[in-house]
This record gives sequence, structure tokens and C-alpha cells, in this order.
Amino acid sequence: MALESTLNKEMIINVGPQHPSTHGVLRLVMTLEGEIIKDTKPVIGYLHRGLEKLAESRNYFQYLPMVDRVDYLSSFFCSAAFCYAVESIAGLKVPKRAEYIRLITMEFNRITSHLMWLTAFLLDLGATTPMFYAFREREDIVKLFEELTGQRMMYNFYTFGGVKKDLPEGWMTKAVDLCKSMPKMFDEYEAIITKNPIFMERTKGVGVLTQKMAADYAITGANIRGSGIDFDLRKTNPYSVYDEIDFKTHLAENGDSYDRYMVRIAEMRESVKIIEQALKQIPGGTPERLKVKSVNCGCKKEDCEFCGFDVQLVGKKLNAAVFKPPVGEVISMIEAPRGVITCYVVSDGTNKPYRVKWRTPSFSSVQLLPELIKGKNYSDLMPIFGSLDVVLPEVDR
Amino acid sequence: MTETVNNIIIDEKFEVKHLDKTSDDIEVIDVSKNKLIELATYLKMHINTQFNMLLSVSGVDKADCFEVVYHLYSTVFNKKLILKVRLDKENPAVESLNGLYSAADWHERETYDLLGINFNNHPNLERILLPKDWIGHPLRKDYVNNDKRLSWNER
Repeated sequence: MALESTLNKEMIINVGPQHPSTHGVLRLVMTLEGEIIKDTKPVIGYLHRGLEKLAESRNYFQYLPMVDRVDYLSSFFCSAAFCYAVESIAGLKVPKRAEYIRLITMEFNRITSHLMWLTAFLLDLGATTPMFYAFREREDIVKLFEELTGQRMMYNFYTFGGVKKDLPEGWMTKAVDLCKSMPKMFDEYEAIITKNPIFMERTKGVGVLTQKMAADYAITGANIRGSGIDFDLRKTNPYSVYDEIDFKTHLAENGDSYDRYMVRIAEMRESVKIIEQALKQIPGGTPERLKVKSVNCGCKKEDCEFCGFDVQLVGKKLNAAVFKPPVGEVISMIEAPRGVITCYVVSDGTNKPYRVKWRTPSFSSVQLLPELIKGKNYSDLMPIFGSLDVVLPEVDR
Repeated sequence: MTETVNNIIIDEKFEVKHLDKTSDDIEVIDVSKNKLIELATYLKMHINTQFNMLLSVSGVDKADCFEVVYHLYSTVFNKKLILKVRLDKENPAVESLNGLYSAADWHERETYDLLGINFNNHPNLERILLPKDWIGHPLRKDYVNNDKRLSWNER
């Protein structure tokens, strides 16, 4: 074919579904004119597992382990969203020590998730070295999780009204030591990444997300803070015990890929500070203080044998068959590493949820992608897409 | 007595009904499907409310109706609000909020995909999570999967 006939002609290419840098299974149908991206159509749904449908046929306790699979890089947040929703309907009040354990594990999970994002993002840009640095720390944290929960990825550690077990002996000391060593490690990443001229060239001024666009597309988390909107649920609508902890939210101004990187690095440092405070403030206690003592099955009968029974005496967990939250609906919002996870639960008074709806932050981020990369060079696709921190199982649910 | 959202009285103008608050104290407003666009525009544009974010659109299959639930958020006031539209079972359809919030696009497609609720004037209302040739809408309570075709790996 002559060169002239290919000029001024649009070309449709297919990125994915098994492209190595799509962070899962995402397909992009792109219309290119030369190297310029004219139009993009994301095709999702390859990892759809029907988590919302599965909830209808399982009782609350059977659904609990599945919730971790919504987003495998931040499992604690997904279980927290579901647990807070159900606790809010059932009126369970979580003991302080359990709340602190939740907070510590969630913040550690935020660091692992951001480290995983960092490696994936830098790999997308062709830098392999940061991966070995970041996985070193990630391994330390994951080992702590393994000691606490027995799992490295799908923890299934929270339960309605608390957590499943207490911190093992010596766990706190290890956590304190890790918190001491971690800021030095972050300095190491910054030394090799932040002022790197190639990295700055590829990310500065690329993929600018304006404030208006961010709110319009309901972008949340570090992405919207990179654009300068102060939207952090830990501050504005504190759940757990975040109101007892002193921390800052980090904002940037320009909203480009570089700013989103800077916000996430700052957030990791802030998470370490939060964990250090929480480890100091955590109240001591016997295992009995980890879970609610009594459960209300919501029947409002006076002689109900299940209302107000002592959980610890009956068994290790609430009895699944009798755990019936009252009729009602609730939406719980959690500030996950990727943004706001909301879990909307409708209960009809039986032991199975009537409807569970997950709103995941990556879903909005993928929707935004065509708008961000329109008119850009093809080589800008990965710096933009990588900086949005998308995890595809979370998009498809 | 008229209840208010951030001191804005909306009862008479938009014929809304205030429902019980959710367990975590978020206001729930029931609005008829004809007034939805008007109310959403008003809530987004008014200086005292500024609900500039549509967090999610979800559908619920209730016994006598379909409910479409809109979760709004205001980054200015850090306030949440829930709008509910009830649709009849026969032909559930409501105006799309796509012109007002870009986020509505995919969320409405998802609701259409899983619950079969039609959104009028939506630019691209097709299945998003399920394959294009899927039959039925799985989150309806009367859904039975009796698709006789071979599964995807046997085709």
C-alpha cells in the first residue's frame, strides 16, 4: 500500500483484553489517526462475577468471605464497607479495641495497595527497579497480615460487630518497628523516582483532570485530591475512630499524573503516622472486648430467645441462622485506596440481604479514561491510565 | 411542616415526599419520575445545596414497584442525599441524568443491564457488564436463567 493512502486515515486498534499493562482484563477499542487518539471505547465485564446476585441467595455470614473478592488489593476496605453497613442496620456497636484493630489493618492495607500501584505504574512506564524496592516493604506488611489473619490476600478478618481475633503476641512490636523503618524506604523511592527527569517528562502536564470534570465523573480518592478538591471521608465523615486521630489530607494543584503520584506518596507517609498514633492509643483488653456482647435479632418480641443472648457464651460468632437485621436500608461509605467504596444494603428482615449494591471507585475512573486521553499521543495512554489506579475486578464486580 | 435540605424548601415546587432517614442518618427524598430532572438540576445548581457529584445509581426490585436510587454528594458541604424514584413494574422507564452528570452514563447502563430499567434519552443504552446476547435481567426477583444455548466454551 502506498504511504499516501494510509495518511489521513483512521485506524481502529484493539488494546487488550490480555494486554500486560491493563491491570486486569480491560479491552479498549481505540480509533487512532497516526499516533493521536481520536476516540476510545472501554469494554468491561470480563471479570463479572455477579457479586450482587450472589448476595441474594446467601445469608449475611455466607456472603462475608465473598466481599473480600470485590477488590483483591484492598480486601480490608471491602469487608469494612459491608460490615459497617450491616452493623448500622442491625444497630451493633463495635468495641473500641476492635475499631482500632480495624483502623490499623486498613491503613496498612492502604500502604500495600499504594505500593502495588506504584510498582504497576512504574512498570507501565518501563521502569523495573522500583518494583523490587516496593515489594520489599509490601512483603513485610503482608507477613504481618499473614500472622494476624492467616491469609496473605483475602483476609476475611472482620465480622459483624468486631474482628475475628485479637492481635497475636508481639504483633504490635513488629508493627511499631515497621512503622519506624518505613519512612526511610519511602525516601528511597522518592530518591529514584520523584526527580527522575524521564519520569517527570512523561507525567508532568499529562492527563490533566480539572476539578469540574472530576466532580462530574464522580472521581474520588487520591485522583480527586490530586486535582485540589479536599474530599476525604476520613476527615469529612469520620467512620471507625478516625475522629480520634490527628492527620492531614494531602492535596495537589494541577491534577496531572505527576500530582496523583505525589498525593499517593504523601498518603503513604500519612498512613504510617496514623498507624503510629493508633498503636499508641489502642485500648488494651481481653478477647471479650473484640466483639459485641449481645445481638438483637430485630423481632422486638419480649420473650425472644435470641435477642440479647451472650455471643461469647454461645459460640465464636453470631449464629448465622438467627442473625436477622431489621427492615431498613443503609449506605456505608469507606475511603478506600482507590476512592470511595459505597455499599448499599437493603434488608427485608430475613437472614439474607434483599439487595446489595457496590459502588466502586475504579468503575468511575475507567469511565473517565476516554475523556482524559482524547487527542493525546498513544504513548500517553499508560502514564494516564496507570496513574488512575484502576483494578479491574473492582470495576466488574 | 415542611422539611428542608440545607434550608431549601423543595416540597411544594417539586411535589416531593420525605421518607424515613436511613439507619446512618441520610435524608431520603421520594420524587415522581416527571420531576426528577427538574429537582436534580435545582439541587445541583442552587448555591445552598450544590450536589455536584452523583456517586451511584442503583435499582431495587421491590414487591410492587422498581425503585431507582440516586446517591448524591456535595463536595462543598460534605453532605449526602438520596433521591428515590418509583417506577411501575410493567414498563419501567425514567429520564436519564446523563446531561447533568457524566457519571450517570455507565451507572445507568449498569442498572439497565442488571434490572432492565430503561433510561430515556440515554446516548448509548446497552449492556455493560453482561455479554450483549444475554437474555433477561438477573437482578430482577423473577429472573430464571433458562438460556438453552451452549455455554461460551462449547459454542
